[in-house]
Amino acid sequence: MNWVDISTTIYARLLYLYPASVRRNDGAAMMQIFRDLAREELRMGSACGASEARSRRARASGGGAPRALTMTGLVRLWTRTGIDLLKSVPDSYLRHSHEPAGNAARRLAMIYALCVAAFVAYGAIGFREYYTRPSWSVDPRAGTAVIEDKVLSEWNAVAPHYSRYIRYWQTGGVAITILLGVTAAFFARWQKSLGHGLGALAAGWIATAAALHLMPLVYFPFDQYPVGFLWLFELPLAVVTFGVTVFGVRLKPDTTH
Amino acid sequence: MAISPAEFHILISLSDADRHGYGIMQQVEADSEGAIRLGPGTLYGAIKRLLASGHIKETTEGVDPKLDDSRRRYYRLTASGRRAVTEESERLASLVRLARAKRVLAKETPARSRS
Repeated sequence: MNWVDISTTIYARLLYLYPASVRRNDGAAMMQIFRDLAREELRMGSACGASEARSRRARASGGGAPRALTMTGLVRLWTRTGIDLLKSVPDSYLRHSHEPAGNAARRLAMIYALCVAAFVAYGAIGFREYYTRPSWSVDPRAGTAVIEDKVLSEWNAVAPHYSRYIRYWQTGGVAITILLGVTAAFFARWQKSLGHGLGALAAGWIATAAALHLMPLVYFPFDQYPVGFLWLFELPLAVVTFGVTVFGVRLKPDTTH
Repeated sequence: MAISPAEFHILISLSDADRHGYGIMQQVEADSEGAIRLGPGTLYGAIKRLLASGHIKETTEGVDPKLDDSRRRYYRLTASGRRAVTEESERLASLVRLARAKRVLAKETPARSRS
């Protein structure tokens, strides 16, 4: 296997960054062009400076003498390809945004982001007193003596309010989990790719975990957990919701990969 | 519909001959003396827009399978594409005239002879 083959194999994988419809329609032609470019850059080499333009003109007219494989050519090939991907991948998604499933996925993603923002904002403001560790949450590492009666009485005083906070994030967590699964499923349908849908699910889950870290900690008698960490337990529900929605809308996995 | 510099160069490259994707890429690079280097993604994005606007079309006429890979797609400038590239060229030429009149751009000098 030479550098042309290796580079072409890598580029074939990078084509997965484009929407499925672009890969279906233009993927083979783009691969062909990349292969031509790789052969050009790696086998033909090119002169530098003023003579480069002459060399290009010669190549355009079918001329040019073969030269040795160069590392410079490899770097130039991948620099050019990297810039091209950075410019053309976002553009290709924008061009395909008119598709109905794309509109639904974008709307759902916007609704999801607003829901998470509202959920975190209400949790952060409405239960802000829990940013400070409550007296009834005992830290054994502090080494202080625990007066059980005192701790119990303090707990009893705040129990209803604190239980409301726990119910709030548990219920809200389930709701946004379901919304995340549905949104990712619509993204998969838009892209006609289960892989893209799972990627969106993972990205949404990580972004939500980061946002949930802004909420107060959840205290148990000895431990404290960020809500973003407890969000981990919602992941199976997100995957199930995604799967049910994907197969519920009879999405066929993209067979053109 | 406004055409981007990349689309304009693609239309120019197709003005004298039908070309396949890689041929267009090389011609644009040669015409612009390396200033415009299209990648596969940018090239096919522009080609798709030009096909959608009817400025170019795919063609199989005149392609000798012995000379080239028959799997390649060749593109040809349409009448609408020729009009678009002419209009854009005239627009650019009038801008150059204006820049010269305002002394933003130096007056045209005789072409240097090439050895």
